[in-house]
Amino acid sequence: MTPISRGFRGRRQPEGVAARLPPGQYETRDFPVLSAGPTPRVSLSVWDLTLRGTDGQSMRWNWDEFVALSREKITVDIHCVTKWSKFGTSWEGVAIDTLISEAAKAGVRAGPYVLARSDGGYTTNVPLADLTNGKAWIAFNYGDAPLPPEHGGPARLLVPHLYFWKSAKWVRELRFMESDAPGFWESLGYHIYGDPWREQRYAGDE
Amino acid sequence: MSAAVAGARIAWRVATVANVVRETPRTRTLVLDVPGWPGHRAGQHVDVRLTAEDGYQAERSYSIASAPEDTKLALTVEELDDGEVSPYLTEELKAGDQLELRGPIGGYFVWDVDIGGPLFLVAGGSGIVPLMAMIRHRNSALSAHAQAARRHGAGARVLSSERWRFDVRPVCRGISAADGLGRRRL
Repeated sequence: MTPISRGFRGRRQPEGVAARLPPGQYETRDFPVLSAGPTPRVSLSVWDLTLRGTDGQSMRWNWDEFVALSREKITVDIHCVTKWSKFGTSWEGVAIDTLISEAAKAGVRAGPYVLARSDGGYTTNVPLADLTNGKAWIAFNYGDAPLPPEHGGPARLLVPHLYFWKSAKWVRELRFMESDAPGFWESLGYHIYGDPWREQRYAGDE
Repeated sequence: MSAAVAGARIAWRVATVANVVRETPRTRTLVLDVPGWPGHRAGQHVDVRLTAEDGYQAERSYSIASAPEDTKLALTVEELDDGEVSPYLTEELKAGDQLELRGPIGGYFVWDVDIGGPLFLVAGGSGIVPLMAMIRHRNSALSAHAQAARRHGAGARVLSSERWRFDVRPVCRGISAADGLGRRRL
């Protein structure tokens, strides 16, 4: 049975806020920075993004080619597994749908699962269905400014409906796979899928 | 990786406060009895959940300060001025009170004696807490197997700064390149 915490009142959120908070989360107005290693610094002159198909075919964009693709502005709530949520964050980026359709013209075959890989070696896995139909982007602007390195710049994956560790900072490659495979945190005790509304924080959470 | 992570859901457990230790003006260590605690590795954390009388709940994550060898689980908590949970934990909680927690969580920032040394631990503010678990684990292992640990070369240095006083307490001396600060050595 859940014990009552003697003398704990807590900070009630207004209705509108409470409804936007997944279970176990609290709102922050800051933008906390959490990373497992040093922040990579990559020059835009050498930056590129690769989509790698299940058959080994790949499509690559350099920075100029990437930012010339069709862009979208996105305003979304984000939820970190460490329990903070931030409302109404504004981004600009290229939809994964756009990248996939461009890559398809070059013969890159999509698969049902994706492993994102970043500068610094970070990886995270996301089902393809969670990246398509307007659900995910590669974001390169935050607010109206270039995405700062500590927040994943020059470009990061943005998958706002999953815990934010899935929105890989410093992303450089999306690799399509026929079967799911855990990324970095998913191999270290965190949930394979990570839906904040079902509070799928850790391996074993239903 | 902790056995607790393999497969089963990490369960909420009821912990009872055995003791509250004042570490600094803003920091308390909560010493907890946790029936059924599965054990942890130095560097792991827990989620803490508080429940108000009307059912309102708040969750936060806190690093474990105690060594795996210790009989009780210790969390060291720094009070944040505008915090919802930390002021309750540091000012209100008393011996005999209960709270819920689940863990241990995290398999990345951990250190065991078997990984070896030497250690060079650097922390700011409450970041010292998981490092204290490592130091305590090391000291337990040292006293238990003094010679074996020395052979492992598990020397340790800690560099920390405490935000409340902005002092840096360098207890590192004589670190040379030969000590090796490679990733595996932490």
